[in-house]
Order: sequence, then C-alpha cells, then structure tokens
Amino acid sequence: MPDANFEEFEQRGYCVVPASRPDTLTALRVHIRDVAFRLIGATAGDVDVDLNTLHKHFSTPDQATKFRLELTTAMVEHFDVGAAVFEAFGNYLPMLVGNDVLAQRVPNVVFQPPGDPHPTELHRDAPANSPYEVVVWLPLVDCFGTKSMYLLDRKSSAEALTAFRSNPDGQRAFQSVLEERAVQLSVPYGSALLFWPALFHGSVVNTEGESRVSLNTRFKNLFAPLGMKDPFRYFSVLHTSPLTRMGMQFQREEA
Amino acid sequence: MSKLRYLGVTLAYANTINPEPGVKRAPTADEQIRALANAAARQGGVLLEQVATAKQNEGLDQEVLRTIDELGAEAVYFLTIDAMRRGNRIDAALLQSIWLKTGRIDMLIEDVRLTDDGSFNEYLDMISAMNEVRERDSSAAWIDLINRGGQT
Repeated sequence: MPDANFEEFEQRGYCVVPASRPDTLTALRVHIRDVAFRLIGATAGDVDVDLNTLHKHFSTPDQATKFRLELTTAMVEHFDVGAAVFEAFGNYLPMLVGNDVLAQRVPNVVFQPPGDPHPTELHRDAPANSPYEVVVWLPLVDCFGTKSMYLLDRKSSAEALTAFRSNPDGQRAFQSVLEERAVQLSVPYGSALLFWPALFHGSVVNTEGESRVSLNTRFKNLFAPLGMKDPFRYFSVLHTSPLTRMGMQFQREEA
Repeated sequence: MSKLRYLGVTLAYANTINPEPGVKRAPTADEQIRALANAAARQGGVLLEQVATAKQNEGLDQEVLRTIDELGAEAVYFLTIDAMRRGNRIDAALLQSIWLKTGRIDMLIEDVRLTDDGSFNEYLDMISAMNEVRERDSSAAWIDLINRGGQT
C-alpha cells in the first residue's frame, strides 16, 4: 500500500484505491452480471450497461429485494468472491490485515435502483463487528452523487458519537454533525473504498437514474480480536502464512 | 451405491428463549433432527436414527467416538460447531478424533462441509486460532494492555 494511502486511511479511516489486479476485478464483475442475468432470465450485453440498467428488470422494490437475496446466495456457489476481492486489491489489503486472513464468507450485495425508498440507514459496523476489520466497499458501476454512499471520517464519527452520548434523546446535535461533515463519495468502477468499520456511514435515495450495484465485504487478521459476531458463521480462512501453519501444527502435536 | 451414514449431533441449548442474538427461541430436539435428516439427504446421505447430543457450553462427550463405531457411522452432521464448545474453547482434539474415524464432517448452521484432509486441516487451523484469540480477548492481561493503549 503506498504510504499516502496508508496515512490517509489511518487519518481519515478510509481511502479510495484503484484495483491492483483489474483483470481479477473484471472477471468478478462479469461473473456477478452473468449470475444476475441467469436469475432474471435476460440476455447479457455490455456489462456496464447491463448493471447500470438492472432496475429495468423489476417493477417493485420487493422484487428487487428478493432478487438481491438470490444473487447474494448464487454468486458464491461456484466462485470465491472474497478471494477475488482480496486479490483485486492485493496491493493494499495485506498491508492492513497481514498474511493470515479471515474473509467474510458471503459478501453483501447492494442493489439500489433509482428511487428505491429504502436506502441504507446511517449506522456503523463496529460494534458488533470487530474494530480490527477493514470493510471493502466495491462498486460494480461508477458510483457518484446519490448513487454512492456517504460516511463520516474518524474525527467526525467520534464527534457524532460524543454528541449522541451527551444527549441520547435528542437527535439535533448528532444530525448537525452528520449534515455538516458527511462526505458523499465518488468511487468509480475499477476502484474500491476501504474503510474502518467504526465510521458512521449510509446512503440516501438514489436519484441518479441508474442502478447502484455494489459489494461490501470484510477482512481481518486471523489473530485479531473478535467482534460480537460468531467467527465460524461469518468468516472463513482465506490465507495463512507457511509459518502460521507450521506453528499451529506444532502446537497441536505437542499439546 | 449405498448412502453415506451420518451420525447427527444436536445441541441442548442452555436457554430455550433467545438463545443467541436474533433468534427468538432455540430449536427443539425434534426440529434439529428433522433439519439434520433433510441436510443429510441433500448431501446424498441418510441420518442414523440415534443421535448424539451436546450440552451448550459443555461440549460433546468422548462417548461419541464409541457411538460412531457401534453404529458404523461414516460421517457426522453437527447442528453447529457450538456443539463442540466448552466455555471459550472448541474441543479441537475431539473433533480431530471424529475426523480420523469418519473423514467427513458437516455443519448445518455454518454451512460447512469438510470432505478431505486439506479442508479439515484448514478448519482446524481456524479453530486453533479462534480458541487462542477468545482466550486472549477475555484475559485480564489483554484488557489491561488495551486500556494502556497498547503500550507494554
């Protein structure tokens, strides 16, 4: 990870980085488009157009939600999506989580059609997730304006939390920090937003006239502190170093 | 071709109400057995009539090894890896013994299928790491280190 990205990540809690393996990202995007189009019974064309116009295949928000859940399950059946994401951003992620890596077993798919009345509400992942994880927010189309997501950086997230804690029944102070400090991010396809799970984030109603299709998934070091989520349900081992494997075998045999 | 004979392992939950976040009530033994039977059938196997039951947080008794031999079980279907948990630790040694006897372990809730030494050893590595991490995370020494800002 270049030093500038590293410093930015530590200072703000996030950075937007280009894929270090664009070919892997292309294969992942085509795979997801193919699975999506198989599910809806449509004929594939240009992948960028197919994903940006995905909403045209659905007439109600409920249909879109049902499809998203089916896509989430189907896309991981014969394809290791977590491994592909890690490889695509392999110049950055090992610098954050090391070489002994747990990957979220089933990445989340977000499909936000234009006008969808259910954007992602403001929240932060940690807690319940571990603050030792990194979230990879990966757009499969160009994401900008209301088609993207917003977040508060480290400093603003801390201030928002202080405002909330000082007046848990009143939303004004919290809302004020949010309105003043939230950054609506532009993340073009080919790049990813890496962010710390303790940052507040969310999305608004997508008014851009195109679908937002994105993945979000999490990585952490195998030996980093756990959050409240059961690691056996949420994560699987993606990589271990030879030394770690040797050490574990040694411990088992000598125990 | 004969069907793979699964020994089912159910979990007697310590609390039947809200046994874990997001779950309103624990599944009954009958519900667990039905679910395991369906899962075994989906894997092209059959669930043996006799099942083993673990107590939550107390793990599974070594007796399960004799049960496997007596019933001629060729695989084990756990409701969840939590059936092997004793407090903070998963009983990796017993799981390894079960593996050596059967060479096939499935877990329903976690949707895990261990079918060869490679997949089993990778899972065992995760168990070993999680055992150490959980023990460290809950230790007074670790909490003290965090409170001191990571400075030794």
